[in-house]
Amino acid sequence: MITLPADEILLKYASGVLDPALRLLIDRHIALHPETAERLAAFRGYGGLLLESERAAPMMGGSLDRALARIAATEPTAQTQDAGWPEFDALRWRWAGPGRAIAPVAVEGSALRAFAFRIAPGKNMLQHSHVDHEWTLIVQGSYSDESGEFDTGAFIEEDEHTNHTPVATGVVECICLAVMSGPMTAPGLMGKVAQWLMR
Amino acid sequence: MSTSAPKTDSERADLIADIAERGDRSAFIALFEFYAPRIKGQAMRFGLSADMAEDVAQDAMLAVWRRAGQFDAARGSASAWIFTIATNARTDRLRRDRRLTSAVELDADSIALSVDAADGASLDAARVSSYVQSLPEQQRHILHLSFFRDLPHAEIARTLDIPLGTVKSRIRLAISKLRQAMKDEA
Repeated sequence: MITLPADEILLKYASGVLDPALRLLIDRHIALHPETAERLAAFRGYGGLLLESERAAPMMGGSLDRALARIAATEPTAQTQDAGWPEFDALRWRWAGPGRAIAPVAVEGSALRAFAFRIAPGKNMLQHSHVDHEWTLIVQGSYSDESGEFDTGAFIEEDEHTNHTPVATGVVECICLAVMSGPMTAPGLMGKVAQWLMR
Repeated sequence: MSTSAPKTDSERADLIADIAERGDRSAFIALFEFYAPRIKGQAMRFGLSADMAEDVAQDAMLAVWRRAGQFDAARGSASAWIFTIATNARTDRLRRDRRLTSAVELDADSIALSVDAADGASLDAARVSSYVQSLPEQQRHILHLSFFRDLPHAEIARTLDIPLGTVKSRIRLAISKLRQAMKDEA
């Protein structure tokens, strides 16, 4: 049972090559998990060392003057947070069975498929398995499946070996943001419906 | 108006603090001269054209000026902070401009750390570099393929000619060893 992002994902997040959809999940996860932030800091430290050691590529003539002109025209600013985080209420939610709804999420520049789902307390998501990978962030509430119980902020990676049926636990609706690299496979007619819903 | 290059990371951290405290232009110039060409070089290593990499370096240095007050030396090195700013500048540029140049081949030479050539690289950089150089070639290659590119495991397996089943475990090993090495540095 994995509830924290793998080192590989954090390394790519640090170096900026991670897919934008997965980046969203990590942004949110880190805010809730200082221990993940600490691992990330190690990879950023590595990036910093690579930067120091990088062969200098000469800047074009006049580049320093251009930079000075730009800083003269600017004020210090606070960093914007949560860029690209979806407005969950504004998504196109579609009914996906009793107590559950699903909505596609468009993430600019992503090569993966992202979708949000909501499960009412005590209800379950469709049993499904994965052809490739699925990463899920619990945005609100909690759920449990065959491998354990997961709380808000948990980052769960599933691969082709897992076949699970998440059930929302707790008293609030469970809302998740999920990202998938291959098609989902679910048995039966509802599985076909779910695949259609997530297009 | 060349200034003397900051030699250590703590000197560079002080320069960031000078910008934060009093908008010190000469501190900015010293940081620009050290970091801008390196940010540009690194952006090209990530596959950007020289022109785009130049823009990234400009954007990143502007962000250094604007966000200097957010730098906290207790939370990491000056280079790590500027690396993160440069990473954001690069991904912002790529989002706005999709003309990502065809990915530059990452051969063993192009990903080797060139610490001896880099004056101003810190002792930490030298130590981590020698650690990375001490890794078996394949692990080093896996590490840098993961850092500089977002490749499917199948492609890494093909590139390195190893079975797909072993790619995952080797990636996990190479990256967790790196994290441990960085922790030992801290």
